[in-house]
Order: sequence, then structure tokens, then C-alpha cells
Amino acid sequence: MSQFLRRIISLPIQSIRSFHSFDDVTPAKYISTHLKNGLGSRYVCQLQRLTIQVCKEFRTSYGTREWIANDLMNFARQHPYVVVYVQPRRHRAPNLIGEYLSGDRQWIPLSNCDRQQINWWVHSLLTQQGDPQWRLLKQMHTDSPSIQGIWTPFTNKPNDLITRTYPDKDLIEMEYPQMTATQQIQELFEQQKTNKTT
Amino acid sequence: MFIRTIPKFVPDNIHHDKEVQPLYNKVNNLVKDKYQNRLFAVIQIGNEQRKVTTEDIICKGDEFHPTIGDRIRFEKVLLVGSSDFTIIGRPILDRNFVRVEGIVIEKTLSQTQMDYWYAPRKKKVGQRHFLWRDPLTMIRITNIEILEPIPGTNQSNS
Repeated sequence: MSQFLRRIISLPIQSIRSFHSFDDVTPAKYISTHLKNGLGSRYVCQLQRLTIQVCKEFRTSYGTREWIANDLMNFARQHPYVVVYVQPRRHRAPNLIGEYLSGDRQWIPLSNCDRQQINWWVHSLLTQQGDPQWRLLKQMHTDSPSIQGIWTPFTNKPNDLITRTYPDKDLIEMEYPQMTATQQIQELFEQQKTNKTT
Repeated sequence: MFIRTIPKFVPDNIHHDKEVQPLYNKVNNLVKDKYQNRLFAVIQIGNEQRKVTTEDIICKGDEFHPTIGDRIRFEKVLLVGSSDFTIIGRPILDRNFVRVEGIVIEKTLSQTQMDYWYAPRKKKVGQRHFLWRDPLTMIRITNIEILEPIPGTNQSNS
């Protein structure tokens, strides 16, 4: 239930429905980065250009206008590596367009969004890498999958398993280092025997 | 009648040290040439345990407060190993002994998922559909290193 609530709180859902196309199949991909971003604790922000298309009159772009009036200057100061354009368009819906280092661009319609939601969408574009929507095939990516070698049933076992004659006493002792139940019962039986004789 | 199933553990420190200290020394010598061997570690992130090496990317399928470019030090390290040795914490290793660091490279959204419910012969309330996209966080592991000899040995300070 908490997950369900978190989804509602975290995302402005109406805007997803407006721009998601149900006809196309989302491509499946493994995790990857452009130009090995993040190696050696070196990070380059992938977002380069942010265009906000806004109308000065319509109610649909009310939240966008509010965000521009209050938060835009702070955002530009905090992220000087992003170029921000504000493009007024008369009597049309507000949009947010991000252009990335890889050449891709993201487009998000912002009609009837609050100031808070618009702030959320802007930061989501800022933190993205610019790829279009894709399905996650694996939760991780490694260049060196195994360091100690792949496990087999013969790892950490003696090499002369084939040449022994079975049942082998040493191998049984290796498998059961502690006292087994059968051995305990045998001991009890012997004790009873000795008690009877005495 | 009481039956003792497991034989009682008798600590024999002197005998134990004689056997184990040379092994500790071997591992400490292996740790010194840290650029020869590649290390791996098992770390815990938000109730999930992941096996990581340097230069690999892990995905955390949840909200995560740090933004892009933030460096993180993972303090819950359960295990550190190389090609020749493995050091297991009980349950976690000491903070001063091992250091695992990462950097947040991306915070994206997953693909659009839909919850669809349909009941025939119900007017108005027969359909319900709900769209969402989960937040994802990609973290790159930058370095794993062992800072000092194994705690509890002759070579260590503690």
C-alpha cells in the first residue's frame, strides 16, 4: 500500500498519459552510459539545453509561469552548465524540451501542471541521460563478471575423487564433522549393553 | 533423557592462533599490493545485497535522495574478496578496514506500466486503469580498497 501511495505522490500522472503512445512497443536494453560517464568519480552532466515553451495568457500554463517567476533564476545559478531558453508562444500549450550530449531530445507537455510538478519534471530531465523510454533487462552491468572463477561442484574439493574406492572413510568424515544421529544411537546402545553386562 | 546433539565448543585460543596467524599474515601481504588484484565486495543498498566490483553500474529501483554527481560511501559492506582470498564480516566489516565508494550517474524513470481492471456488466465503475513510472537510480562503483590489515591480528592496531 505504501508503494502505491508513493507512486501517486512522486509522479504527476496525468502528464504521462498525455504523451505516452500505447501503439509502440518500448525497446528493451541493458544498462549503459555514454563515454564511460562516472569512471574515476568524474561526472559530466548530460543535459545541455532546456527549452520552456510557455503562453502568457492561458490558464494551462499558469504553473509554468509561476515556476519561471520564482524558481528559474535559482535553477540557472545552481546549474551553469545547462543553457535555458524561455520561448513565449501565444495561445498554445506549455512544453518542456531537453537536448542532450548524445544528440537525443526529450519532450514533455506541461499543460495544467502545478509549480511543484513542473519543478519535478525539470529535475527529472536534468538527471536523465537523454535516452528515450526503454525497458530494463538487467538490474546491473559488469565488465568483469567473476573474479574467483565460476563455481563448479569440484571447487574446494580434493582432486583424487575419481581414484578413491567408495565408501571412503575420509570423505564421510569431511561431510559430517560433528556427531551424527546414528552414531549417537550406536553409542547409547553400547552404553546400555555395558550396563546390562555389569 | 537429555541428548547433546552438537558437541560443546571449547575455545582453544593458543592452538587456534598458531594455525590461523600465518594465514592472516599471508592475506595481509596480499593486500599490500592492491593494484595487482581486483577486489569485489558485497554491499547492502536499501534492503538489497549486491555483489559489485569497480567500474560497474548498479540500478536501485527506488527513490534515492542524492542527485547526479554525488559521491557515496557504502558503509554496509558484508564481504570483500580478491582472486586469492575472501574476508567475510559478521555481519558487516569495520568502517576503517574497507572503503567502497560510488557515484550517482543517472536518475531516470522506468518504462510506463499499467494496472488495468475490467469487470463486464458494471456501468461506470467497470473499468479502471492506472499508469505509473518507477523512479530508477544508476550508481557507478568507483573504487573498492582495503585500508589496513585485518582487525584482530598481530599486525593490526586494534
